[in-house]
This record gives sequence, structure tokens and C-alpha cells, in this order.
Amino acid sequence: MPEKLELTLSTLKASRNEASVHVLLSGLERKVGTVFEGALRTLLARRSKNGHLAALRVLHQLQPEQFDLLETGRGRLTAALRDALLHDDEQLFENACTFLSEFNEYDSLPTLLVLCEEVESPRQPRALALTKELADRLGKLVYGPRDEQTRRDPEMLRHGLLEQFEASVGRYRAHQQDGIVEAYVMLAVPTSSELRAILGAPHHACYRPVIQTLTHSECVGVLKLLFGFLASADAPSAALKVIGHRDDPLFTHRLAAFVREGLRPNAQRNLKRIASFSWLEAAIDEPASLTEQQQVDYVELVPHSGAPLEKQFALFRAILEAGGLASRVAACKAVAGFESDESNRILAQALDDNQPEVQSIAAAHARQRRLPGTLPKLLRMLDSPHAEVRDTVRKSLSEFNFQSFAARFESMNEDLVESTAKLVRKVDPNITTSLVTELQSSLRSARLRAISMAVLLSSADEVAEAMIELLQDPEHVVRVAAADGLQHYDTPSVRGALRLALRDKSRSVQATAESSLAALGEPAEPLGDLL
Amino acid sequence: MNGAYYALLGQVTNWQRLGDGLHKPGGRAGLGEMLGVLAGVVALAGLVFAIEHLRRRFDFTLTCNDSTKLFRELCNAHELDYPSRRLLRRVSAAAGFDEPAAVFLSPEWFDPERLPKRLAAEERRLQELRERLF
Repeated sequence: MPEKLELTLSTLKASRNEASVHVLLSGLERKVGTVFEGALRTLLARRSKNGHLAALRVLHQLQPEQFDLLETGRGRLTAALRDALLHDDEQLFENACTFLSEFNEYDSLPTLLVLCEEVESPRQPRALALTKELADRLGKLVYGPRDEQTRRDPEMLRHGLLEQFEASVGRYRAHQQDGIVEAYVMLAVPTSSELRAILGAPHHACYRPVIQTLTHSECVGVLKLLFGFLASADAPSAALKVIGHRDDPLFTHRLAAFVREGLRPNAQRNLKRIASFSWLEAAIDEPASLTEQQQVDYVELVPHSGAPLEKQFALFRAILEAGGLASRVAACKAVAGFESDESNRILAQALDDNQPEVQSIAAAHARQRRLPGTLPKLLRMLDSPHAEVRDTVRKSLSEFNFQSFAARFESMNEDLVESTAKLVRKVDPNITTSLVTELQSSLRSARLRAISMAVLLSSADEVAEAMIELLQDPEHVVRVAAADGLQHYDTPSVRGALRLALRDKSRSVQATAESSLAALGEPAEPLGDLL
Repeated sequence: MNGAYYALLGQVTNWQRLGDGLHKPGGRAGLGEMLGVLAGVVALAGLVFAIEHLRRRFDFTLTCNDSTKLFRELCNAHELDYPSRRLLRRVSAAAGFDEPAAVFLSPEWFDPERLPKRLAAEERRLQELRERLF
């Protein structure tokens, strides 16, 4: 805008002379151009109801890109908007509605409520639709991120408006407008005594529209209201029934998210009061008809509810049979939270799942619960191609480790030693380190036992090297045992060490080394060749 | 305080002489003298009224609904001299504006083709004014 014209407009804006409004109105008469836009902006910036009304009158002539000019009037036009909404001029009414919708003028809701109650008025449907629209947006503002352009506290705005809505709902018998009740529920808070009174009295005139709104509305305010009831100390039964009745994915997903965030004692208690969900039977009968997200949500929700256990297990079983991967994982985790024969059976069944994620969850719990017949399955899973499964099974069979094997080694019979050693070899990933440490023990008995265990547990080079070192042990009994054990490690260094052992000062060591070399397929050479 | 009160009460018989010393030695004032005083008072009131009128005329911070004053306020804002102001008034009158200040938002009235005949001679000055205002 030219600087000189801007000077005129800023003077008109700041002037205390009411005649400036008339001058600006003359600027509006030109409909387009810089002067028109400047005059409109300046009129909106002035505190003049007549000027504001004049600006509203031309609103329908604005191009979409000119709507930004109206931004100046945000929050300033309350009085003019009230007059415009109640004015006989249809175009002015329509323009006011457009402005309200565009700039979320919540202060005009009481005026809109007056129009909503005028059942015979042709403006009533538009006013009702706009009331619901604004109530929904205010709900989003209260629960969502703060709108920088709305300078007022949305919670205070809602608090002020709720009184107006409660008064209008109180006149329901006269106007019979469900839409007003709907808008009221969008803004209501769980502590509202008026709302609780309605929910506690099925014969109340507003009971039906309130329940209808709670059951079908997807507005943030309504969803938050239901969760608010769920978290309250004395949730109305009607609200809990609605929660059990709602099966729309948006609500069940939000409810599952609410549960995932962690339930406080009140919410836990209230969820347990919900004995049935309308979606439960269908989910059990046809889990494949649900989206995977729904399957996950249902599976995570049900354990916190008061639904009968047989229904809950039926859902888990159905999901594990026909659900997607994420929902099968969720079902497996959910089942693991129960300690019963049925949950054990379902977990055992989950061990046979074709996906490693499910298998490993089931495996982690199967061993803890000592499920009959699951050990062979777990042992087979130790050879699973999936590292995730192998790791989980190893953890679940962690009692089969080197230390416990060493502690019981001498008390086990030969068959048991062999079978257990086989298991320990698969389960304990640190077996080589443990064996080497044991072979280097300062106790002779420990070294001897370690040699016997090493033969059964590990063929690793590190173990063979540790055993070769024992061929230099001061105790000839240990050297004999080491020479004997080394026949199970066929490496060039072992053969070399055994050949050197043929020169041991102990005759029995020499004989054992000779025998071991023979076992490795190497005939004893004359001593002179070795030197 | 009480002492002074009782002293005054004691002179009650002399109260009719109270204020005698205030009169001029020549006696009471005449009608001419009274008219002179009245004229002085009227002149003073007129002066106060005129000052107040001028103050209101040029004080733009006062709330009012005055078309002429708004025109003056805008002229002041644009620092227009007296001849320019007079010319602007003539344009406004020619355009038939209810509000003389509306001319500040009407650049089209400065177009040479649209100028009324009686303003044709002022074309050059009007173009200069247009440059200053728009």
C-alpha cells in the first residue's frame, strides 16, 4: 500500500472523531482496490460497531485471498456479530456466520444458542450447525495444542460457555433440539453435576440425546469426556455402558492408547466394571474381518476389562489362529499375563507359530511355567534359524549353564552327563571361557574335573590349548588326564604336544600320550625322530 | 478562639456600623461604574469562551463527531498548506461528498478527465496534490 495513503488510513484509525467511520465507509463503496482494502482493514481495527457492521455487510463480496484482511477484526466484532446474527438482513446473517466459522468467534455462541432455540426460524438449522462446529473446535482447542491466534484461555472460554449451554439444555422440553444437547456434551466436563444428573436418570428428557452423542460422536471433546468418566472415582454406569458399546475404530484405538499410557487405580476399577464389549463376539468369530490395528487394540484392551475369562481366552486363541503378526504378538503377551491352565495351553500352542516374534514370547514364558511337553519343543528351537528365538530359548533355559553342570557333574550318571552336556553346549554361550578358567584352576581336583567336562562340552581351540598347557602340569595325574583328553581334539598343535608328551618323565603320561596319538591315527614315532 | 467569639458578641450594639470603612470617601458606586465592571466581566467570559473554542477546534484527542475537524486533522497529518486545503475543499464540494474528508480516499477525483470545468484551471496543482496524498 502506498505510504501516503497509509498515512491517511492510520490517521483515520487513530482519530477520536466518529466522522472517520463515515469517511471509511465511503472507501468501502468502491468494492475493490487498495483504497477498499485499506478502508476495510481500518474499519475493523476501529472500535465502532457501525463500522464493524459495515465491514460484515461487504464480506460476501470479498475474494478468498482478501479474507486475510478480516483477520484484524478477530475478537473485536462481538457486538457487531450479535447484531448481524439477529438482523433481518439475510445476507448480513450469512456473512456473520461465515465470519464466525472462519475466525472461530466463540463469544458469539450464546447468540447462536438463542437462534438454535427458535425452532420456527429458517435460520435455525444454520445456527445449529455452526454451534456444533464451534463447540467441536473449542473442544479441540481445549484438549489440543494451543492456537497462537486465540489469546484467551480456552478452558476459561469453555467454562463461561458451559453455563449458557446448561441453561439451554435445561429448556430442552421447550425446543427439543438434540443438536444443542450434542454441542453441550462436546464441551461438558466429567465433573459436571448437570450432565451426571442426566446420565443418572434414564427418564430425563435429555438422556436419549446425551447417550446418542456419547455413543456416536467422534469429536475430541466427547472422547475426552468418556475417558474422563473412565478415570473418575465415581463413573456413571451409563457412561461405562457407552464405552462398552462403542465399536468404532477411532474410539477403540483411542481407548487402547489410553490403556497403553498406564491406568490409574480409578480407571482400572472402572474398566473392570465393563463386563461386555459390543465388538468382542464379532472379534472372536471373525478376527480376519478386523484390521490389524483393531486386533491389537482389542487384545490389549480386553485383559483390563471385566469381560469373562473364557471370552478373553477365546479372543486370544482366535487372534493367534487368524490374526496378523502384530496382533499375534500382542495376544501372546496378553496371554502371558494370566496364570491358568487355559493360558498355558494357549502359550504352548503359540510355540508352534510360524513367526519367530511369537515363538520367542511363548518360549520365554513356557519354560518359566514348566509347561508339560514343552522342553523337547524348546530344545528343538535351540536350533532355530532365527537368532531371536535361539536367544530367547537360551535365556529361558538358563539353568542349563556351565556352573550348574560343573556342580552336579560328579553326581550324575554317564547317560545323564552326556545328555545334559549336549544341552549345556547349546544353551551356555560362555562355555569356552568358563572351561578355560576351570582348566587353569589352582585345585587339582577342579582341573581334573574340567578335563573330563571339556571332552563333553567343547571342541574349541582355546580349550585344546588350555589342555595342552596341562601337559606341563606338576601333577602327573593331571598330565595323564590331559593327554587322554586331548585325543578328542585333532589339531596339529595337539598332535605336536602329544608327541612331546611321549618324553614326559612319567611313564604313565608317555603311555597315555601314545594311546591318544594312536586314537588320532598317528602311530607313536621313535623318540629320536621327535628330537 | 472562644475569646474572639465572646469579644465580637460584646460589640453587638455596634454591628450596624460594620463595613463602613470599606466605602470610598466619596460615597457609593454609580451606574456607569457598574456597567464598566459588567463589560469587563463579559469581555473576560468571551475571551475564555474563545480560548476554549479554539482549544476544542485544534485538540484532535477529544472525542467528537465533526466532519470539518476530521478534514483538518487529515490536512494536518499530510502537512498541507492553506491554499491546498482550500483546493481540496473545492474538489470535495464538486464531488458532492457528504464528508469533506472522503476526498482523501478518492484518487479518481483528481483525474484530469473527471475534473469539473470550474476546477480545470487548477489541473497542475491538483496533480501535485494527488502526488502528495496517494
